[in-house]
Amino acid sequence: MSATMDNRADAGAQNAEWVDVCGLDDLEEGSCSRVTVGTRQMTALRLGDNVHLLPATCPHRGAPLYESKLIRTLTADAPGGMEIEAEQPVLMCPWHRWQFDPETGKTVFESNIRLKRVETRIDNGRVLAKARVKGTAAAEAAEG
Amino acid sequence: MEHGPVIDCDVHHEFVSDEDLIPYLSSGWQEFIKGPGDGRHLPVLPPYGNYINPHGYHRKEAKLDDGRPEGSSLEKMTEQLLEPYDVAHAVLTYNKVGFAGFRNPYYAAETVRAYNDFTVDNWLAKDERLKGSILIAGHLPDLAAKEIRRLADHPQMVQVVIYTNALGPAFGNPIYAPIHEAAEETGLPIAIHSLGDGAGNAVTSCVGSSHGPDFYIEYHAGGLQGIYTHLMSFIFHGVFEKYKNVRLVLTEGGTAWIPAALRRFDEDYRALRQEVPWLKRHPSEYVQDHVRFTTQPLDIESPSDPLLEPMKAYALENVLMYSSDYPHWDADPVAQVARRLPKDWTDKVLRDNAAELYGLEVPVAA
Repeated sequence: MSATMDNRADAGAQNAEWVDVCGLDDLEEGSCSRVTVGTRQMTALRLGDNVHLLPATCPHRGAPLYESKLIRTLTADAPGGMEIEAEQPVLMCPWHRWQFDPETGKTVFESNIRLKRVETRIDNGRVLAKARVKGTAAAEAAEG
Repeated sequence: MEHGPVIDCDVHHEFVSDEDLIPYLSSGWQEFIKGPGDGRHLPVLPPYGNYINPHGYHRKEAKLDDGRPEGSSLEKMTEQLLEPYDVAHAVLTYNKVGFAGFRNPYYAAETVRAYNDFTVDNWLAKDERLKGSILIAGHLPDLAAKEIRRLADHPQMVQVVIYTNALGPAFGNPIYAPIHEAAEETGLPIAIHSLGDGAGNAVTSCVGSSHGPDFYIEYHAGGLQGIYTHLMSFIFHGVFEKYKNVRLVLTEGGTAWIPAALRRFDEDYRALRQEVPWLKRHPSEYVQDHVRFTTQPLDIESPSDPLLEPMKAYALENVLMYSSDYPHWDADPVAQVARRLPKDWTDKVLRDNAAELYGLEVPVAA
């Protein structure tokens, strides 16, 4: 696989460094796993050669997001209809069934709640996260 | 008058006796109701109440000296309501309404038709301030839709009204699609008046006990249950997605419960939207655009009532419409309502929201 495949994210990149998370093959395709990034628990979702790193807990009510299932959202043109809206799966929280787009972290419904994503890349079969981890050079530099 | 002209969205008018309605039945139905042929006739309306108010249903002062029922005199209504409340438009909503109590669906349809025509001739024709509701019985939705279309062009008819549930499913169920379609086509809002559920043999439209309340106090306090059920039904069946022009008026269900309901509906939509994928927006958004609630019983005691805060959070000043409920015992006089609401709500609630919904003009206050 490409050693330069990035999964750009929107959170926590300042004063961060690339941290080894796990092997890509440690993650089951199309499902969520609990991983540790430094000392922090996170949710990892592998979709092909792409890994999304998301919070371990749901911002709604604190559910373990790494136990989420993947579903495809449904739509209908009229009452009684039932069609797949998009092939791209979304995470469905195990508690209150909120659904999040792993690409953006946004809820599939209109809201101001979103998952903070951590940037990842794959390097020689390893999943790397761009994160500030306590005790690392970047974190210590940021803390002054 | 301090509050200016108002639109009263729930005024119960009455007929004096069955003899008022019988001439409006078709000749065939008039022959049918002769019954035993000894001068008695079959009832034109089913027995109304399973629930008896121990103190009576009406304001004492609405009683007429000659024994006619309360609400049956335009003169008295003018003296007690239209003039002192400065009512620019009064939406009439009938009084004896337990049509679901008739098991014969054709007779139910015929009697509501007669009640409508009686209203046109004996009320609407006599005072332009009076506005009509096209009363329907839900037994046969096709016949109800026919009745809506028959009267929709009358210039004083401003809405459809249904009280009692004869079939069982709540009123957003597609079994009522002919009614939804007629409302869409004519542009007339559908009003669902609470407390019809206790009438005659009507089905109780609440999620809870199928037996219904045991006491009048339960029946009265639970009036919002049917309203709540029908509101959910309209939203989650996607009536407002399918029929962009349909507006719903929920009459006499109260007000302070609305924010809690909308919060619940929105939360459940977020969790369970896969079951109803035809919904494209949060339920509270449909309510802002499609649903109006009449104020009586207002539930709010003063502009500093803490229950107002959640109502403000959901911008209920845009969806409430004043109603007196004259001549019933629990009617809300307009001056009382004006005093109990925030000052910046009164123009909208007392007239502007209803004027917009019904397309009515209101004279400027002197």
